Amino acid sequence: MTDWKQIALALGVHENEAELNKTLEPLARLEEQFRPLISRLAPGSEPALTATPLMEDIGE
Amino acid sequence: MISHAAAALRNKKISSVELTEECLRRIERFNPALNAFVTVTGDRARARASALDAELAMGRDRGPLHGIPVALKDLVYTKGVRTTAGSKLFADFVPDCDATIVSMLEQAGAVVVGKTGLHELAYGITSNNPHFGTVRNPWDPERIPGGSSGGSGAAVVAGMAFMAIGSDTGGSIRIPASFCGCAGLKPTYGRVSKYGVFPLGFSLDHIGPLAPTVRDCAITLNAIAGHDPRDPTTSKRPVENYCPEQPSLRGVRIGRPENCYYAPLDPEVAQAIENALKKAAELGAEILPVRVPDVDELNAIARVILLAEAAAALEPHASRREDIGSDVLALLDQGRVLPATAYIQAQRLRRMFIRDFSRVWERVDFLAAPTTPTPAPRIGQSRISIAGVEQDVRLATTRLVRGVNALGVPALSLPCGLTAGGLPVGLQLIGPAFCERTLLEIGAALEDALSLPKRAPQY
Repeated sequence: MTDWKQIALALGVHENEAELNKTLEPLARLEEQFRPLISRLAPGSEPALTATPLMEDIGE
Repeated sequence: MISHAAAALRNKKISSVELTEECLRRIERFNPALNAFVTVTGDRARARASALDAELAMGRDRGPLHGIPVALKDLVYTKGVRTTAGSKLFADFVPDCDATIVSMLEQAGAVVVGKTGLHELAYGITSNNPHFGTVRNPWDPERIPGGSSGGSGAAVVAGMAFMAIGSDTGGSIRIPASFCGCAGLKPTYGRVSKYGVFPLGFSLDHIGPLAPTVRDCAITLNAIAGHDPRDPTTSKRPVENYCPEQPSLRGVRIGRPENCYYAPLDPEVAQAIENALKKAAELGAEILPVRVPDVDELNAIARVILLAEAAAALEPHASRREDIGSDVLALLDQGRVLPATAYIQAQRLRRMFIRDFSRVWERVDFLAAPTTPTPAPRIGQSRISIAGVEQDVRLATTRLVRGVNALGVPALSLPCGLTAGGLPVGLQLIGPAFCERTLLEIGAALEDALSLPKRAPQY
Protein backbone atom coordinates (compact mmCIF):
# COMPACT_ATOMS: atom_id res chain seq x y z
CA MET A 1 0.00 0.00 0.00
CA THR A 2 1.07 3.56 -0.63
CA ASP A 3 2.91 5.51 2.06
CA TRP A 4 0.64 8.51 1.90
CA LYS A 5 2.44 10.24 4.72
CA GLN A 6 5.74 10.30 2.87
CA ILE A 7 4.05 11.73 -0.21
CA ALA A 8 2.28 14.35 1.89
CA LEU A 9 5.51 15.37 3.58
CA ALA A 10 7.34 15.52 0.26
CA LEU A 11 4.61 17.75 -1.16
CA GLY A 12 4.82 20.04 1.83
CA VAL A 13 1.43 19.28 3.29
CA HIS A 14 2.44 20.50 6.73
CA GLU A 15 0.33 19.43 9.63
CA ASN A 16 1.33 18.01 12.92
CA GLU A 17 1.69 14.25 12.83
CA ALA A 18 -1.63 13.51 14.49
CA GLU A 19 -3.48 15.84 12.10
CA LEU A 20 -1.70 14.38 9.10
CA ASN A 21 -2.55 10.83 10.13
CA LYS A 22 -6.19 11.81 10.58
CA THR A 23 -6.22 13.56 7.19
CA LEU A 24 -4.67 10.66 5.34
CA GLU A 25 -6.37 7.75 7.07
CA PRO A 26 -9.41 7.80 4.73
CA LEU A 27 -7.04 7.52 1.73
CA ALA A 28 -5.71 4.20 2.97
CA ARG A 29 -9.26 2.84 3.20
CA LEU A 30 -10.14 4.26 -0.19
CA GLU A 31 -7.06 2.65 -1.70
CA GLU A 32 -8.13 -0.73 -0.33
CA GLN A 33 -11.40 -0.39 -2.23
CA PHE A 34 -10.01 1.21 -5.34
CA ARG A 35 -6.78 -0.64 -6.13
CA PRO A 36 -8.35 -4.07 -6.78
CA LEU A 37 -10.62 -2.52 -9.41
CA ILE A 38 -7.67 -1.51 -11.57
CA SER A 39 -6.90 -5.14 -12.35
CA ARG A 40 -10.22 -5.34 -14.20
CA LEU A 41 -9.17 -2.78 -16.78
CA ALA A 42 -8.46 -4.14 -20.24
CA PRO A 43 -5.25 -2.78 -21.83
CA GLY A 44 -7.24 -0.72 -24.33
CA SER A 45 -9.62 0.80 -21.79
CA GLU A 46 -9.80 4.50 -22.45
CA PRO A 47 -10.54 7.08 -19.78
CA ALA A 48 -13.91 8.79 -19.78
CA LEU A 49 -13.49 12.21 -21.33
CA THR A 50 -15.37 15.31 -20.38
CA ALA A 51 -14.86 17.53 -23.40
CA THR A 52 -18.25 16.23 -24.53
CA PRO A 53 -21.14 14.93 -22.44
CA LEU A 54 -20.27 11.51 -21.12
CA MET A 55 -22.93 9.42 -22.79
CA GLU A 56 -22.40 11.05 -26.18
CA ASP A 57 -18.68 10.68 -25.74
CA ILE A 58 -18.94 6.90 -25.81
CA GLY A 59 -21.72 6.82 -28.40
CA GLU A 60 -24.44 5.47 -26.11
CA MET B 1 -46.08 25.82 -5.98
CA ILE B 2 -44.94 27.57 -9.13
CA SER B 3 -47.91 26.49 -11.26
CA HIS B 4 -50.43 27.77 -8.68
CA ALA B 5 -48.61 31.08 -8.31
CA ALA B 6 -48.34 31.41 -12.08
CA ALA B 7 -52.09 30.89 -12.47
CA ALA B 8 -52.83 33.43 -9.72
CA LEU B 9 -50.57 35.96 -11.45
CA ARG B 10 -52.43 35.57 -14.72
CA ASN B 11 -55.84 35.72 -13.00
CA LYS B 12 -54.66 38.96 -11.37
CA LYS B 13 -55.32 37.49 -7.94
CA ILE B 14 -51.79 38.36 -6.93
CA SER B 15 -48.88 40.30 -8.37
CA SER B 16 -45.20 39.43 -8.65
CA VAL B 17 -44.49 42.27 -6.24
CA GLU B 18 -46.83 40.69 -3.68
CA LEU B 19 -45.31 37.23 -4.17
CA THR B 20 -41.84 38.69 -3.81
CA GLU B 21 -42.76 40.70 -0.71
CA GLU B 22 -44.21 37.56 0.85
CA CYS B 23 -40.97 35.61 0.21
CA LEU B 24 -38.90 38.51 1.58
CA ARG B 25 -41.13 38.68 4.68
CA ARG B 26 -40.63 34.97 5.24
CA ILE B 27 -36.88 35.34 4.81
CA GLU B 28 -36.84 38.17 7.33
CA ARG B 29 -38.90 36.14 9.77
CA PHE B 30 -37.32 32.71 9.43
CA ASN B 31 -33.77 33.26 8.25
CA PRO B 32 -32.38 34.26 11.64
CA ALA B 33 -33.25 30.75 12.87
CA LEU B 34 -32.58 28.73 9.71
CA ASN B 35 -29.67 30.66 8.13
CA ALA B 36 -30.79 29.51 4.68
CA PHE B 37 -29.64 32.73 2.96
CA VAL B 38 -26.18 34.25 2.82
CA THR B 39 -27.33 37.31 0.87
CA VAL B 40 -30.82 38.71 0.34
CA THR B 41 -31.35 40.88 -2.74
CA GLY B 42 -34.56 42.54 -1.61
CA ASP B 43 -34.32 45.86 -3.45
CA ARG B 44 -33.28 44.27 -6.73
CA ALA B 45 -36.04 41.70 -6.40
CA ARG B 46 -38.70 44.31 -5.72
CA ALA B 47 -37.64 46.38 -8.73
CA ARG B 48 -37.57 43.37 -10.99
CA ALA B 49 -40.93 42.07 -9.77
CA SER B 50 -42.46 45.47 -10.46
CA ALA B 51 -41.05 45.50 -14.00
CA LEU B 52 -42.33 41.98 -14.60
CA ASP B 53 -45.80 42.92 -13.36
CA ALA B 54 -45.79 45.79 -15.86
CA GLU B 55 -44.74 43.43 -18.64
CA LEU B 56 -47.53 41.00 -17.85
CA ALA B 57 -50.05 43.84 -17.75
CA MET B 58 -48.91 44.85 -21.23
CA GLY B 59 -49.36 41.33 -22.54
CA ARG B 60 -45.77 40.12 -22.51
CA ASP B 61 -45.85 36.70 -20.84
CA ARG B 62 -42.49 34.95 -20.43
CA GLY B 63 -44.06 31.68 -19.28
CA PRO B 64 -44.61 29.87 -15.99
CA LEU B 65 -41.61 31.42 -14.22
CA HIS B 66 -42.72 34.96 -15.05
CA GLY B 67 -42.73 36.91 -11.78
CA ILE B 68 -41.86 33.89 -9.61
CA PRO B 69 -39.43 34.47 -6.70
CA VAL B 70 -36.50 32.05 -6.75
CA ALA B 71 -33.14 31.68 -5.01
CA LEU B 72 -29.66 30.67 -6.13
CA LYS B 73 -27.05 28.64 -4.30
CA ASP B 74 -24.29 31.06 -3.40
CA LEU B 75 -21.80 29.54 -5.81
CA VAL B 76 -23.74 30.73 -8.86
CA TYR B 77 -22.26 33.92 -10.28
CA THR B 78 -24.54 36.95 -10.05
CA LYS B 79 -23.33 40.13 -11.68
CA GLY B 80 -22.80 42.81 -9.06
CA VAL B 81 -23.92 40.58 -6.19
CA ARG B 82 -21.42 38.93 -3.86
CA THR B 83 -20.91 35.23 -4.56
CA THR B 84 -19.03 33.48 -1.78
CA ALA B 85 -19.16 29.76 -2.57
CA GLY B 86 -19.59 29.52 1.20
CA SER B 87 -15.89 30.22 1.57
CA LYS B 88 -13.76 32.82 3.28
CA LEU B 89 -11.60 32.68 0.14
CA PHE B 90 -14.39 34.36 -1.81
CA ALA B 91 -16.08 36.29 0.99
CA ASP B 92 -15.80 39.56 -0.97
CA PHE B 93 -15.99 38.23 -4.51
CA VAL B 94 -18.42 40.16 -6.71
CA PRO B 95 -18.69 38.66 -10.22
CA ASP B 96 -18.77 40.91 -13.25
CA CYS B 97 -21.06 38.54 -15.13
CA ASP B 98 -24.01 36.27 -14.53
CA ALA B 99 -23.85 32.50 -14.79
CA THR B 100 -25.62 31.25 -17.90
CA ILE B 101 -28.40 29.74 -15.79
CA VAL B 102 -29.02 33.12 -14.14
CA SER B 103 -29.44 34.75 -17.54
CA MET B 104 -31.76 31.93 -18.59
CA LEU B 105 -33.85 32.13 -15.43
CA GLU B 106 -34.15 35.90 -15.79
CA GLN B 107 -35.05 35.54 -19.44
CA ALA B 108 -37.83 33.22 -18.26
CA GLY B 109 -39.03 35.91 -15.86
CA ALA B 110 -37.77 34.60 -12.51
CA VAL B 111 -37.17 37.06 -9.67
CA VAL B 112 -34.02 36.29 -7.67
CA VAL B 113 -34.63 37.04 -3.98
CA GLY B 114 -31.20 35.97 -2.75
CA LYS B 115 -28.30 33.57 -2.49
CA THR B 116 -28.57 30.47 -0.35
CA GLY B 117 -26.07 29.03 2.09
CA LEU B 118 -24.06 25.93 1.42
CA HIS B 119 -21.36 23.68 2.76
CA GLU B 120 -18.03 25.44 2.38
CA LEU B 121 -16.99 25.31 -1.30
CA ALA B 122 -19.83 22.81 -1.86
CA TYR B 123 -17.47 20.17 -0.50
CA GLY B 124 -19.54 18.41 2.13
CA ILE B 125 -23.00 17.29 3.10
CA THR B 126 -23.84 19.06 6.35
CA SER B 127 -23.96 22.78 5.43
CA ASN B 128 -22.32 23.47 8.80
CA ASN B 129 -20.39 26.38 7.46
CA PRO B 130 -17.51 27.70 9.62
CA HIS B 131 -17.58 31.11 7.91
CA PHE B 132 -21.27 31.80 7.31
CA GLY B 133 -22.89 29.72 10.05
CA THR B 134 -24.86 26.53 10.29
CA VAL B 135 -27.85 26.07 8.00
CA ARG B 136 -30.68 24.37 9.90
CA ASN B 137 -33.36 21.96 8.77
CA PRO B 138 -36.87 23.49 8.88
CA TRP B 139 -38.33 20.13 9.95
CA ASP B 140 -36.09 20.09 13.03
CA PRO B 141 -33.65 22.95 13.59
CA GLU B 142 -31.35 20.65 15.56
CA ARG B 143 -30.74 18.63 12.41
CA ILE B 144 -28.76 19.30 9.26
CA PRO B 145 -30.60 20.20 6.05
CA GLY B 146 -28.08 18.14 4.10
CA GLY B 147 -25.65 19.58 1.65
CA SER B 148 -24.01 20.97 -0.01
CA SER B 149 -27.13 22.81 -1.24
CA GLY B 150 -28.55 22.95 2.30
CA GLY B 151 -29.73 26.55 2.14
CA SER B 152 -31.61 25.84 -1.09
CA GLY B 153 -33.45 22.89 0.46
CA ALA B 154 -34.28 24.83 3.63
CA ALA B 155 -35.43 27.89 1.63
CA VAL B 156 -38.01 26.04 -0.46
CA VAL B 157 -39.60 24.04 2.37
CA ALA B 158 -39.80 27.18 4.51
CA GLY B 159 -41.58 29.07 1.71
CA MET B 160 -38.78 31.60 1.26
CA ALA B 161 -38.61 30.93 -2.49
CA PHE B 162 -40.64 28.88 -4.95
CA MET B 163 -37.51 27.19 -6.26
CA ALA B 164 -33.82 27.31 -5.44
CA ILE B 165 -30.98 26.32 -7.68
CA GLY B 166 -28.48 23.80 -6.32
CA SER B 167 -25.42 21.98 -7.55
CA ASP B 168 -24.69 18.27 -7.23
CA THR B 169 -21.20 16.78 -7.39
CA GLY B 170 -21.76 13.79 -5.13
CA GLY B 171 -25.41 14.15 -4.16
CA SER B 172 -25.56 17.82 -3.18
CA ILE B 173 -29.01 18.44 -4.68
CA ARG B 174 -30.59 15.10 -3.79
CA ILE B 175 -29.32 14.88 -0.20
CA PRO B 176 -30.88 18.19 0.92
CA ALA B 177 -34.01 17.33 -1.07
CA SER B 178 -34.22 14.09 0.92
CA PHE B 179 -33.49 15.63 4.32
CA CYS B 180 -35.66 18.72 3.77
CA GLY B 181 -38.63 16.97 2.15
CA CYS B 182 -38.69 18.59 -1.28
CA ALA B 183 -38.05 17.52 -4.86
CA GLY B 184 -34.55 17.83 -6.28
CA LEU B 185 -33.36 17.07 -9.79
CA LYS B 186 -29.82 16.30 -10.89
CA PRO B 187 -30.11 16.45 -14.67
CA THR B 188 -27.96 14.53 -17.14
CA TYR B 189 -24.35 15.76 -17.31
CA GLY B 190 -24.32 18.32 -20.11
CA ARG B 191 -28.05 19.12 -19.99
CA VAL B 192 -27.60 22.35 -17.98
CA SER B 193 -24.75 24.81 -18.37
CA LYS B 194 -22.20 25.13 -15.58
CA TYR B 195 -20.74 28.35 -16.96
CA GLY B 196 -20.39 30.85 -14.13
CA VAL B 197 -20.77 28.31 -11.35
CA PHE B 198 -17.81 27.70 -9.03
CA PRO B 199 -16.41 24.28 -9.98
CA LEU B 200 -15.71 21.52 -7.48
CA GLY B 201 -15.42 18.37 -9.58
CA PHE B 202 -15.23 19.40 -13.24
CA SER B 203 -16.53 16.11 -14.60
CA LEU B 204 -18.96 15.46 -11.75
CA ASP B 205 -20.66 18.84 -11.23
CA HIS B 206 -24.31 19.16 -12.20
CA ILE B 207 -26.69 22.11 -11.80
CA GLY B 208 -30.38 21.67 -11.06
CA PRO B 209 -33.42 22.77 -9.08
CA LEU B 210 -34.77 22.04 -5.62
CA ALA B 211 -38.46 22.86 -5.29
CA PRO B 212 -41.59 21.88 -3.40
CA THR B 213 -42.82 19.68 -6.26
CA VAL B 214 -41.53 17.63 -9.16
CA ARG B 215 -43.55 19.83 -11.53
CA ASP B 216 -41.71 22.89 -10.20
CA CYS B 217 -38.44 21.16 -11.05
CA ALA B 218 -39.77 20.45 -14.54
CA ILE B 219 -40.78 24.09 -15.06
CA THR B 220 -37.29 25.13 -14.00
CA LEU B 221 -35.56 22.62 -16.23
CA ASN B 222 -37.55 23.97 -19.17
CA ALA B 223 -35.95 27.34 -18.47
CA ILE B 224 -32.34 26.27 -17.87
CA ALA B 225 -31.72 23.27 -20.14
CA GLY B 226 -29.81 23.60 -23.36
CA HIS B 227 -26.50 23.97 -25.11
CA ASP B 228 -24.26 26.82 -23.99
CA PRO B 229 -21.37 27.79 -26.26
CA ARG B 230 -19.54 28.99 -23.13
CA ASP B 231 -19.68 25.54 -21.53
CA PRO B 232 -18.05 22.92 -23.78
CA THR B 233 -19.53 20.10 -21.72
CA THR B 234 -23.11 21.00 -22.62
CA SER B 235 -25.02 18.82 -25.05
CA LYS B 236 -26.39 19.96 -28.38
CA ARG B 237 -29.21 17.45 -28.04
CA PRO B 238 -32.54 19.29 -28.48
CA VAL B 239 -34.33 20.40 -25.34
CA GLU B 240 -37.74 18.84 -24.72
CA ASN B 241 -40.81 20.07 -22.86
CA TYR B 242 -40.13 18.58 -19.45
CA CYS B 243 -43.44 19.52 -17.83
CA PRO B 244 -45.48 16.38 -17.13
CA GLU B 245 -48.62 16.49 -19.24
CA GLN B 246 -50.26 13.21 -18.32
CA PRO B 247 -48.24 11.76 -15.45
CA SER B 248 -48.62 8.02 -15.34
CA LEU B 249 -46.80 4.96 -14.08
CA ARG B 250 -48.76 2.50 -16.18
CA GLY B 251 -46.45 0.02 -17.84
CA VAL B 252 -43.29 1.64 -16.49
CA ARG B 253 -40.62 -0.92 -15.52
CA ILE B 254 -39.04 0.19 -12.25
CA GLY B 255 -35.98 -1.73 -11.15
CA ARG B 256 -35.47 -2.43 -7.45
CA PRO B 257 -31.75 -3.24 -7.16
CA GLU B 258 -31.32 -6.51 -5.28
CA ASN B 259 -27.56 -6.30 -4.70
CA CYS B 260 -27.10 -2.63 -3.79
CA TYR B 261 -28.89 0.39 -2.35
CA TYR B 262 -31.26 -1.40 0.05
CA ALA B 263 -28.91 -2.38 2.88
CA PRO B 264 -28.09 -1.21 5.40
CA LEU B 265 -30.99 1.20 5.76
CA ASP B 266 -32.69 2.88 8.67
CA PRO B 267 -35.83 0.74 9.17
CA GLU B 268 -38.17 3.71 8.80
CA VAL B 269 -36.49 4.72 5.54
CA ALA B 270 -36.79 1.14 4.29
CA GLN B 271 -40.49 1.09 5.18
CA ALA B 272 -41.22 4.41 3.45
CA ILE B 273 -39.45 3.25 0.29
CA GLU B 274 -41.36 -0.05 0.24
CA ASN B 275 -44.63 1.85 0.70
CA ALA B 276 -43.76 4.10 -2.24
CA LEU B 277 -42.92 1.13 -4.45
CA LYS B 278 -46.20 -0.53 -3.46
CA LYS B 279 -48.01 2.65 -4.44
CA ALA B 280 -46.16 2.73 -7.76
CA ALA B 281 -47.24 -0.87 -8.40
CA GLU B 282 -50.86 0.02 -7.59
CA LEU B 283 -50.60 2.75 -10.20
CA GLY B 284 -49.55 0.26 -12.85
CA ALA B 285 -45.75 0.19 -12.62
CA GLU B 286 -43.96 -3.10 -12.85
CA ILE B 287 -41.48 -3.45 -9.98
CA LEU B 288 -38.66 -5.73 -11.06
CA PRO B 289 -35.71 -7.04 -9.08
CA VAL B 290 -32.54 -6.17 -10.93
CA ARG B 291 -28.81 -6.57 -10.41
CA VAL B 292 -26.73 -3.45 -10.95
CA PRO B 293 -22.97 -2.84 -11.08
CA ASP B 294 -21.51 -2.57 -7.58
CA VAL B 295 -22.35 0.90 -6.32
CA ASP B 296 -19.73 0.85 -3.55
CA GLU B 297 -17.06 0.25 -6.19
CA LEU B 298 -18.50 3.04 -8.30
CA ASN B 299 -18.41 5.30 -5.23
CA ALA B 300 -14.71 4.58 -4.75
CA ILE B 301 -14.09 5.57 -8.37
CA ALA B 302 -16.14 8.75 -7.98
CA ARG B 303 -14.30 9.66 -4.78
CA VAL B 304 -10.89 9.35 -6.44
CA ILE B 305 -12.07 11.55 -9.32
CA LEU B 306 -13.55 14.15 -6.99
CA LEU B 307 -10.54 14.29 -4.68
CA ALA B 308 -8.27 14.98 -7.64
CA GLU B 309 -10.56 17.41 -9.47
CA ALA B 310 -11.39 19.42 -6.35
CA ALA B 311 -7.72 19.67 -5.40
CA ALA B 312 -6.99 20.96 -8.91
CA ALA B 313 -9.91 23.39 -8.92
CA LEU B 314 -8.84 24.92 -5.62
CA GLU B 315 -5.07 24.67 -6.07
CA PRO B 316 -4.69 28.44 -6.69
CA HIS B 317 -5.98 29.01 -3.16
CA ALA B 318 -4.22 26.10 -1.47
CA SER B 319 -1.76 28.36 0.32
CA ARG B 320 -4.54 30.07 2.29
CA ARG B 321 -4.91 27.09 4.59
CA GLU B 322 -6.03 29.18 7.55
CA ASP B 323 -9.03 30.38 5.54
CA ILE B 324 -10.35 26.89 4.83
CA GLY B 325 -12.38 24.80 7.30
CA SER B 326 -10.77 21.65 8.68
CA ASP B 327 -13.07 19.12 6.98
CA VAL B 328 -12.65 20.69 3.54
CA LEU B 329 -8.91 21.17 4.04
CA ALA B 330 -8.51 17.47 4.83
CA LEU B 331 -10.25 16.53 1.58
CA LEU B 332 -8.13 18.99 -0.40
CA ASP B 333 -4.96 17.57 1.14
CA GLN B 334 -6.09 14.04 0.28
CA GLY B 335 -6.59 15.16 -3.30
CA ARG B 336 -3.16 16.77 -3.45
CA VAL B 337 -1.34 13.58 -2.55
CA LEU B 338 -3.23 11.33 -4.97
CA PRO B 339 -1.01 10.41 -7.93
CA ALA B 340 -2.10 11.34 -11.46
CA THR B 341 -2.21 7.64 -12.31
CA ALA B 342 -5.01 7.09 -9.76
CA TYR B 343 -7.08 9.78 -11.45
CA ILE B 344 -6.54 8.30 -14.92
CA GLN B 345 -7.34 4.78 -13.72
CA ALA B 346 -10.48 6.10 -12.09
CA GLN B 347 -11.57 7.72 -15.36
CA ARG B 348 -10.90 4.44 -17.21
CA LEU B 349 -12.95 2.52 -14.64
CA ARG B 350 -15.64 5.13 -14.88
CA ARG B 351 -16.07 4.46 -18.60
CA MET B 352 -16.30 0.73 -17.85
CA PHE B 353 -19.02 1.34 -15.27
CA ILE B 354 -20.94 3.66 -17.63
CA ARG B 355 -21.01 0.84 -20.18
CA ASP B 356 -21.99 -1.79 -17.60
CA PHE B 357 -24.69 0.43 -16.17
CA SER B 358 -26.14 1.17 -19.61
CA ARG B 359 -27.11 -2.51 -19.82
CA VAL B 360 -29.41 -2.04 -16.84
CA TRP B 361 -31.62 0.16 -19.03
CA GLU B 362 -32.27 -2.77 -21.34
CA ARG B 363 -34.14 -4.48 -18.51
CA VAL B 364 -35.83 -1.60 -16.72
CA ASP B 365 -36.81 1.99 -17.50
CA PHE B 366 -35.76 3.43 -14.14
CA LEU B 367 -34.20 2.41 -10.87
CA ALA B 368 -35.82 3.23 -7.54
CA ALA B 369 -33.76 3.48 -4.39
CA PRO B 370 -33.59 5.50 -1.20
CA THR B 371 -31.85 8.83 -1.66
CA THR B 372 -30.24 8.64 1.77
CA PRO B 373 -30.08 5.62 4.08
CA THR B 374 -31.25 7.69 7.05
CA PRO B 375 -33.33 10.76 7.76
CA ALA B 376 -31.45 13.97 8.57
CA PRO B 377 -28.73 13.48 11.20
CA ARG B 378 -28.29 15.88 14.09
CA ILE B 379 -26.05 18.93 13.69
CA GLY B 380 -22.53 18.01 14.76
CA GLN B 381 -23.14 14.27 14.50
CA SER B 382 -20.15 12.61 12.81
CA ARG B 383 -21.08 8.93 13.27
CA ILE B 384 -24.43 7.29 12.69
CA SER B 385 -25.75 3.84 13.44
CA ILE B 386 -27.62 2.28 10.54
CA ALA B 387 -29.25 -1.07 11.28
CA GLY B 388 -26.72 -1.60 14.05
CA VAL B 389 -23.68 -0.64 11.96
CA GLU B 390 -21.69 2.48 12.99
CA GLN B 391 -20.76 4.61 9.98
CA ASP B 392 -19.22 7.94 9.12
CA VAL B 393 -22.09 10.37 8.45
CA ARG B 394 -20.58 11.82 5.25
CA LEU B 395 -19.82 8.47 3.66
CA ALA B 396 -23.16 6.98 4.71
CA THR B 397 -25.11 9.98 3.43
CA THR B 398 -23.41 9.99 0.03
CA ARG B 399 -23.38 6.20 -0.42
CA LEU B 400 -26.57 5.98 -2.48
CA VAL B 401 -26.14 9.16 -4.52
CA ARG B 402 -22.46 9.66 -5.32
CA GLY B 403 -22.09 7.00 -8.02
CA VAL B 404 -24.78 8.56 -10.18
CA ASN B 405 -22.56 11.62 -10.65
CA ALA B 406 -19.85 9.46 -12.17
CA LEU B 407 -22.39 7.92 -14.55
CA GLY B 408 -23.71 11.32 -15.60
CA VAL B 409 -27.28 10.04 -15.74
CA PRO B 410 -30.23 11.98 -14.33
CA ALA B 411 -31.68 11.33 -10.88
CA LEU B 412 -34.65 12.78 -9.09
CA SER B 413 -35.28 12.77 -5.36
CA LEU B 414 -38.83 13.19 -4.13
CA PRO B 415 -40.38 12.88 -0.70
CA CYS B 416 -41.96 9.47 -0.12
CA GLY B 417 -42.86 9.49 3.56
CA LEU B 418 -42.21 10.74 7.05
CA THR B 419 -40.66 8.96 10.00
CA ALA B 420 -42.55 8.61 13.27
CA GLY B 421 -40.47 11.55 14.49
CA GLY B 422 -41.73 13.65 11.57
CA LEU B 423 -38.62 13.70 9.38
CA PRO B 424 -38.84 13.42 5.58
CA VAL B 425 -37.65 10.38 3.64
CA GLY B 426 -36.50 10.74 0.03
CA LEU B 427 -36.98 8.32 -2.83
CA GLN B 428 -34.45 8.46 -5.65
CA LEU B 429 -35.43 7.65 -9.22
CA ILE B 430 -32.53 7.13 -11.61
CA GLY B 431 -32.82 6.80 -15.38
CA PRO B 432 -30.74 6.64 -18.54
CA ALA B 433 -29.08 9.74 -19.95
CA PHE B 434 -31.40 12.48 -21.21
CA CYS B 435 -34.57 10.75 -19.94
CA GLU B 436 -35.61 13.77 -17.87
CA ARG B 437 -39.03 14.11 -19.52
CA THR B 438 -40.19 10.63 -18.53
CA LEU B 439 -38.30 10.74 -15.23
CA LEU B 440 -40.20 13.87 -14.23
CA GLU B 441 -43.45 12.38 -15.50
CA ILE B 442 -43.26 9.27 -13.33
CA GLY B 443 -41.97 11.37 -10.45
CA ALA B 444 -45.01 13.64 -10.73
CA ALA B 445 -47.37 10.65 -10.89
CA LEU B 446 -45.89 9.18 -7.74
CA GLU B 447 -45.82 12.54 -6.00
CA ASP B 448 -49.53 13.03 -6.72
CA ALA B 449 -50.33 9.59 -5.33
CA LEU B 450 -48.23 9.99 -2.18
CA SER B 451 -49.68 13.42 -1.41
CA LEU B 452 -47.12 14.55 1.16
CA PRO B 453 -46.72 18.04 2.69
CA LYS B 454 -44.98 20.56 0.45
CA ARG B 455 -43.64 22.62 3.33
CA ALA B 456 -42.19 21.88 6.72
CA PRO B 457 -44.64 22.26 9.64
CA GLN B 458 -44.87 25.80 11.04
CA TYR B 459 -43.81 27.28 7.71
